[in-house]
Amino acid sequence: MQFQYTAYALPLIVAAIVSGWVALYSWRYRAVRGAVALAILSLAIAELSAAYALEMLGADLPTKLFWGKAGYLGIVTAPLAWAVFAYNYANPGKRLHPWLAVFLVGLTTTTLLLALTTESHKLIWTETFIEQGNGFSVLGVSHGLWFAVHTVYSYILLLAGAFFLLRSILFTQGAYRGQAAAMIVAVAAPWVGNIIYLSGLSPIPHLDLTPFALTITVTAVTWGIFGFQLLALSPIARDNIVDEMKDGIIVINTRNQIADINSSALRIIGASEKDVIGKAGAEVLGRWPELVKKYENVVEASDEISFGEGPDRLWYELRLSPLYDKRKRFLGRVITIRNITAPKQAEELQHSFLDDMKALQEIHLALSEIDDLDILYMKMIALSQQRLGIDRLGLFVVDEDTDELHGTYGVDEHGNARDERYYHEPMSSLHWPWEVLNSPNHAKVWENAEIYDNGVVVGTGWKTGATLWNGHKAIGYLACDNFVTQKPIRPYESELISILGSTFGHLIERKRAEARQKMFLNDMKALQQVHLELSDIDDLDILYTKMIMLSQQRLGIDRMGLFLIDNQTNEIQGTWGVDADGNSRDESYYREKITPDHWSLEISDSLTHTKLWENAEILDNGIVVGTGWKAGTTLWTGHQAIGYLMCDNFLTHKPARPYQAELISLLGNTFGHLIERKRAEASLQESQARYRQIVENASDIIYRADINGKFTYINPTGVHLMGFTNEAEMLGKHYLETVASNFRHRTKRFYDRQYIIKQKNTYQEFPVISSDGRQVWLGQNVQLIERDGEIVGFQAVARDITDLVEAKDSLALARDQALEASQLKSRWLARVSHELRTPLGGVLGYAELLQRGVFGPLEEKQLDAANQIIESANYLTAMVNELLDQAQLENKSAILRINHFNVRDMVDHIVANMSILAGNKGLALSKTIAPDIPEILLGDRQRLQQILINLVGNAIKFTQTGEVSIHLYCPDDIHWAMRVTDTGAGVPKEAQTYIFEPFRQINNAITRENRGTGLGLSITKQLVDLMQGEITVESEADKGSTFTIILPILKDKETEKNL
Amino acid sequence: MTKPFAMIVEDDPKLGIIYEAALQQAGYDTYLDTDGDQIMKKLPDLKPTLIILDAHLPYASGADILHRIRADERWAKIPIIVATADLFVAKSLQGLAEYVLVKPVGLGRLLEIVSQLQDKTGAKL
Repeated sequence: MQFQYTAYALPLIVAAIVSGWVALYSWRYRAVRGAVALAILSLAIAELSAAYALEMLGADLPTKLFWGKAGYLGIVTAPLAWAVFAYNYANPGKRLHPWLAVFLVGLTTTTLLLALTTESHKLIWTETFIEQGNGFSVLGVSHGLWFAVHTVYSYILLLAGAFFLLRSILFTQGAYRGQAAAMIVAVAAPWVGNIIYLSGLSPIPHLDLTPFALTITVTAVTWGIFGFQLLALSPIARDNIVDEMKDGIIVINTRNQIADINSSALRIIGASEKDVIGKAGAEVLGRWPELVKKYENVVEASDEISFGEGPDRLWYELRLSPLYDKRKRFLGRVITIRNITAPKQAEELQHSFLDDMKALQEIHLALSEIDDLDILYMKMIALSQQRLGIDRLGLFVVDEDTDELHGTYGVDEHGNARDERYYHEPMSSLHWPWEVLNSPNHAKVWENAEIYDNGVVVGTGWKTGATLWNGHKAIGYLACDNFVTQKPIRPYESELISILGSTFGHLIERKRAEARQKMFLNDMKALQQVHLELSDIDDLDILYTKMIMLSQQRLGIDRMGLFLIDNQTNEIQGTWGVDADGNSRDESYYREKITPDHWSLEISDSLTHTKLWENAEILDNGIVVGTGWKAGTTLWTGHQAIGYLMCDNFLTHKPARPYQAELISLLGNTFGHLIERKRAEASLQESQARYRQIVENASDIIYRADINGKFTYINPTGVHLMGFTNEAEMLGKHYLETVASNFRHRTKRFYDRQYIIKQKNTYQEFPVISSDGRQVWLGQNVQLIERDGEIVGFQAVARDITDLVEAKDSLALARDQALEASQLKSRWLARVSHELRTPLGGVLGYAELLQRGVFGPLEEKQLDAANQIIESANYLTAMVNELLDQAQLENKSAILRINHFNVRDMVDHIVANMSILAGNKGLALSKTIAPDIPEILLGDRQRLQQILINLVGNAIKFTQTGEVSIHLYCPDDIHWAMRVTDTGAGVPKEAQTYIFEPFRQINNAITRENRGTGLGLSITKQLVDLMQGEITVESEADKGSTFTIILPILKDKETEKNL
Repeated sequence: MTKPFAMIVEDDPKLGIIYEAALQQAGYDTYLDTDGDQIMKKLPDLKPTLIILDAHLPYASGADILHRIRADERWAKIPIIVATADLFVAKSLQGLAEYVLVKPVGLGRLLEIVSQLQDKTGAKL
């Protein structure tokens, strides 16, 4: 092959490249409808342009001829591809009839084969040559017969393609106008090229412009399709959205003709596409004249429309919206129709459900007002019928005690209301409520089930059942059906009845609880009233009777038994206030010993000391009278059981309250306390009376004062003593007001002190002044009154001690006076004795000097006179001594000087001295000393000597004839005795009692010879007493006397040692 | 052997004279102090072998004098006979003097005592 460059080939090469690019571009979008045809078309044009360029570049004929033939591949393919593309573009979703396709492809293929083999048959080209153009050369041909066929065929295809595209453009509106313009260019280009070529008007003769024109076509198509996204949007929108969508879409143009309609809309209207496209909207939508009329001139609207009735009723949402192009020019209207039957149905269902719920709420409210359970049940049935449209509602409640189902259908199978009594049916495992209970939500729906009424089958239909539910347990069952009206079942019938069951269940339970609570409150109120009424009764027997009576009247306890424990006899005594026939009793209480198996122990051993027997034997007076419940409790005082309460409802057979045991326990507590209080009150009154009596009648003053010392109580004795007539006059007075003014300060200090140091008890004496001015001495015991460790007052017992004080005063005075006198006497005696002794010394001294012849020898008579003086002086001295001794002994100033002495020496000395005196009277003085008398004794020798001289002196003095003897002996181991016996005048019996008293002498004892002070024996006795000894006298008149002195043998350590 | 010497302190002049007479008969030289203010002055000169002392004196107390004599070594050994009418004083001075006599004092008794004391003193001498 030989080629020769010519610039005229360049546009063709450009056209080939452009077409080739379009082919590639289209191929990439081959999924888009028509794109494959467009790609083929472009490829064909590229091929024919390229072949034409090569033919032009070919330097010799064979080369041009070859490329000329090669160009036929594109020449024959292009019209077909064009036509197919246009068809596809304009008729989306449609395919060519197969036979037409086969015909077209066959014709095209035939032409191509004929072109390639044209030299042999000359059907395409009859002759070929090089035709010289201006600066280029092309293949020149003469056309054969088939070429004419081909040309006609090609133009037909071109015309068809143009037709399809133009028609499509005609219907294209708005956004697709630009696209339509591109398509017109594409359609027009080959025609213009051809016309120019065939008419010879071409500026370049012999140059076929068709390839250029076709390149313009494909470029325009490509711009049109891809530039306006023609392929990407329009077909997909139509196919996938519009056609496939469930909503019906109808496009109406400005002339109110149907411009487009999708399949859903066709289904809704019930017509085919061909029947409606281009038709007037009013005609197509003739089935709904009102709609047409209503929306004839409406551009934008929204509405809901429905067709059909009942369950088959269909609902649609109608939406009208205007259609504008890019420049906002009105193009027509789009009608969207959406089937909203399902949501509409759901909405209706919801409405009806809500209505039912509202009704349910109203039912609930209405029922809440009802307190009577029987009325409540009937109202439940009636309201369910009225408000919820339930023909027949059956209400069955479980009796917990019997496990039976009680209830009824409120309406019979004909819809007539019933007033018959509830029927009872025992629960069984096959029983229908079990089926309900075991279903989900405890509710069940039976469809096409047998409908029962009172156990009899009355027909077939649906029915439902639900539990009466109170939150945690089933208390009964609901059943319902619409047998009377045969209304269809609601989709939520099961839920509705379930809610109804729950609602009614709660309501019943609440009402039951309220009823129980009300009953409980009433009982408590009654109990309080009973307690109040009983509180006023003081007589214990009446109290017991009233307890039984009021329990019966106020608490509805048929029979009450009251039994009290007698702790002393271990018996209980009491009675049932009412017998087994309900007659009240007035018989006496009976007594029963509490044995180890006694029923009362069963009560006291129970928890909370209360017992409830169910189905127990009911006893009356020890006889079984029937069966039923009974309860017993202790009469409790808080710490001790004092008896028992029993009760039963044997007369009315009323069931026991749920809190029967608690009630009777409370009753037991209440009555127990009441009885205890009444008993305590009685005994308190008694003891108060007793104490009052004691206090009021006491001879002592008894009073109380508050913390400030003001009288708060004073007994009559006190009132009268203080000169008042009644207690009130003294109450509030301060105790110090009554105290004598000169004692107030002291008394106040005394009691202030008692208060401050909290001294429990004090005794104080002080004078008080009565209202009438008397002074009364009180001896008063004051006790602090304490409460919780704090002093709250004083309690005093006082006594009138005026006499005592006065007696004591005078006694003290007397004693003081006596004491003073005695001391005075002693001092006086001491003084007197001193003053007497001194002159006595002179008398005695001078007499003795005379006697001794100091002043010269004396005659006998002179000597005798001196002796008489001496004797008298000595006597006087003795008298003084005795007086002094007596004085000393009287004021207890005499002191013993205990020393060892020789008792024999002492006796000898006395005998020696006294013998002269005795001898003078012609009396014998003898002494005997028993050998067991110790040699040395302890004692006051001088005083012992004085005692003995006294006794011996007395004996000599009162004895005229006979003798005086001294005898010393030991009467026992620890005593020694001195006895002086005489044969004198003796001491008369009556005188023996007083001879030891000072200054006492036996009557007429004082004679000239026997004179004395009368102190001797008194001093002797007092000295003996001082020595803890004893002096006794035994005497008989004219027979003499015996004075015996018994003294203890004193021992000191030294003596003991010697022994 | 010198004559025994007795100092007599006695406010009653009659009794003083009686004591002097009795003692002089018994062979004593005597000195009588009737006020009680001389004895302590005269003691060093007279050096008595016996003192007879009264308790109640116009210018001194017999008890006081007794204590002072007994307190002085020079005179402590001189036998003293207290003669008083006051029993209480007599009791209180018991044991301090050789003899305590309660008035009226019998002369027989006094001389008996004096003789006993003379024997004792003589034996010592």
